[in-house]
Amino acid sequence: MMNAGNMNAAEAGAAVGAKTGIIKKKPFRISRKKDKGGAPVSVVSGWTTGDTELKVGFVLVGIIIALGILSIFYTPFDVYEMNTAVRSQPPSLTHFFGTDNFGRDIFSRAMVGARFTLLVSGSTVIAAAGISIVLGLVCGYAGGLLDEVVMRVIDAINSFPSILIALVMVSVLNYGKLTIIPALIIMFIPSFTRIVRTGTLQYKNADFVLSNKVFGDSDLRILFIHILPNIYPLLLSSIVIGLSNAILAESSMSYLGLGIQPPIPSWGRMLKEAQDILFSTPWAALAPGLMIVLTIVGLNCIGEGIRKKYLS
Amino acid sequence: MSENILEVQHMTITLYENGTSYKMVNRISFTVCKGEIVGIVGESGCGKSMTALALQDLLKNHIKVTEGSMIFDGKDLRTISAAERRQINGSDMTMIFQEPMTSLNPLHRIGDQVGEVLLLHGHHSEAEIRERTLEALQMVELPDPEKAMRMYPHELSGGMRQRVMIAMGIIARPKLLIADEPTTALDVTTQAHVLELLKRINQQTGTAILLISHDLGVINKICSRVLVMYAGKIVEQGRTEDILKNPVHPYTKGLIASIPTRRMKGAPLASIPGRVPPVTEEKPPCPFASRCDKGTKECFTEYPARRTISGDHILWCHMP
Repeated sequence: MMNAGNMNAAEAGAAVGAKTGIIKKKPFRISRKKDKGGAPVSVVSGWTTGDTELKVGFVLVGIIIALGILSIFYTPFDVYEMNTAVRSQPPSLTHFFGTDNFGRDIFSRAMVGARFTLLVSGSTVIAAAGISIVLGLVCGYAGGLLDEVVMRVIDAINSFPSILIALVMVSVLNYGKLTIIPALIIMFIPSFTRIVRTGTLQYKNADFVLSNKVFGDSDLRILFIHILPNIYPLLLSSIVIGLSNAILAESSMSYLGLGIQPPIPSWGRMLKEAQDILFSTPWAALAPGLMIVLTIVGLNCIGEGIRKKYLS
Repeated sequence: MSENILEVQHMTITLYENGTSYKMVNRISFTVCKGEIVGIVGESGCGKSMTALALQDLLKNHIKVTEGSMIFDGKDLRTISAAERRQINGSDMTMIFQEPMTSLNPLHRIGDQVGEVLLLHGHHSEAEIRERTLEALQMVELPDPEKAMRMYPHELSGGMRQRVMIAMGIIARPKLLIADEPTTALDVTTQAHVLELLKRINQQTGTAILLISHDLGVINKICSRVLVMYAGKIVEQGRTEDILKNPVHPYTKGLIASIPTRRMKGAPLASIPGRVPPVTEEKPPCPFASRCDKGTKECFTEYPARRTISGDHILWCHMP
């Protein structure tokens, strides 16, 4: 019965199709939709491909960076000026995040803090990545004694808790305003170098590297033009994750009073100051805390997005 | 014939492992004339690829050429500096590999990769490089070379990638092209095209080709001379027709007998009993002695002397 019914329908469809061109197309379109499961609309969610993470990450980090850049030209209130008339004000329309016990606008300070925190962590991570790329490429490619020595030194650095190394560096080195930068650079070199070295090892005996040698490429050219670009996705995602770690580290150091020195505001420092007045003005901790959380979440989203999109 | 482009004399390749040394290739000598196609044939693990890698100085650190000389175009490849070596690599002597799928950098466009060879050798203008890249891609019969230049390796099939590799190999008009099993990874029809291509390139540009293969059919198609290698030694060499029609060495006979033919349809496939002895094993003076059905006592005690059968046909065997 079913068969007969279908046959009839098909025949009818064909008959109608033969008469009018428009209806002829219809069954075809329906069947295609069913077959491909609606090909134009992606069945795979953005969370699986990493697209959503990238979007969320870029929006969050973009907002923070925009605030930081804006603070160069404009802040709602002077960052350093103390105004006893508005001491310990709760959040309001004039002061988005309230004021601290000196009457300074917390939102303005968080904006400037964003600038310095991002500058410090960004420059450290970029410098550390630069050094690590050279170290990792050379060690992985050359191997031998050099590789052994460099990797053991890196193991030695790694065997201490990184925050401890940074603390020691900061106290030993000149206690300048930006001593924290070299300290953080050293903290990040080991992990980046390992990643670059592993990638180099993976590609140095690849067929295309051999064939490049056959065609007369110099070692330097092979390293930077043929091997390095293949490591980028891996390196990029760890750089972004490293950036969020750098922000955390910078904030913890500033919290301990070893980071960026006062009166320059930084998120960690603002948290520390807020701690003393946590019960009288609890909102003082809100702005820097929120900024740190949003930045870290954003950066981790970007890192995860890159990993999902390009590495799996 | 004419002058030799490559002259290998008593080359020995030694593998160092755990403090002991093993000879992977044992005092082999052969020549390649200008414009000639020479084949090296043998089972897996008998030192064919090692010979090719040694010529290109691509041996790993624990494997070394320990004896003999490799005279390429008047220069001994064992004594030249790294800079001279880089000059020869790519411009005078090039190599194409077995695996076209992984021999191209996935991140660079085809045009850039082929053109890079010229960029590294001599001073060519950008327009000239472009033009010659296009010419090379046309020569290897890549369909739509203009478009292919802008493509990435993943957009090409295996056969097309091997064509690109060959284009890279010939763009600088080398005197010698080493092809290490260039057709093994390709299907049979593509294989035939690539072999024809190699032969045509040889005729058009006069590039000598050293073709390494385990497939006598491949060798038969394009080589004028063939060297049969077994366990690190050359056991027989000569013109391809002579070797294929009139093999003398038991190993060559065995290789030819094991090619399936239509006549033997239904019959069990012939094979040579045993296996190639591993490098680490102590071998008798004639390495094939243990698998040979005609072996005598002297095969295990004395090195077989070089014997000339006729003209170019040379043999290393005790048997008459």
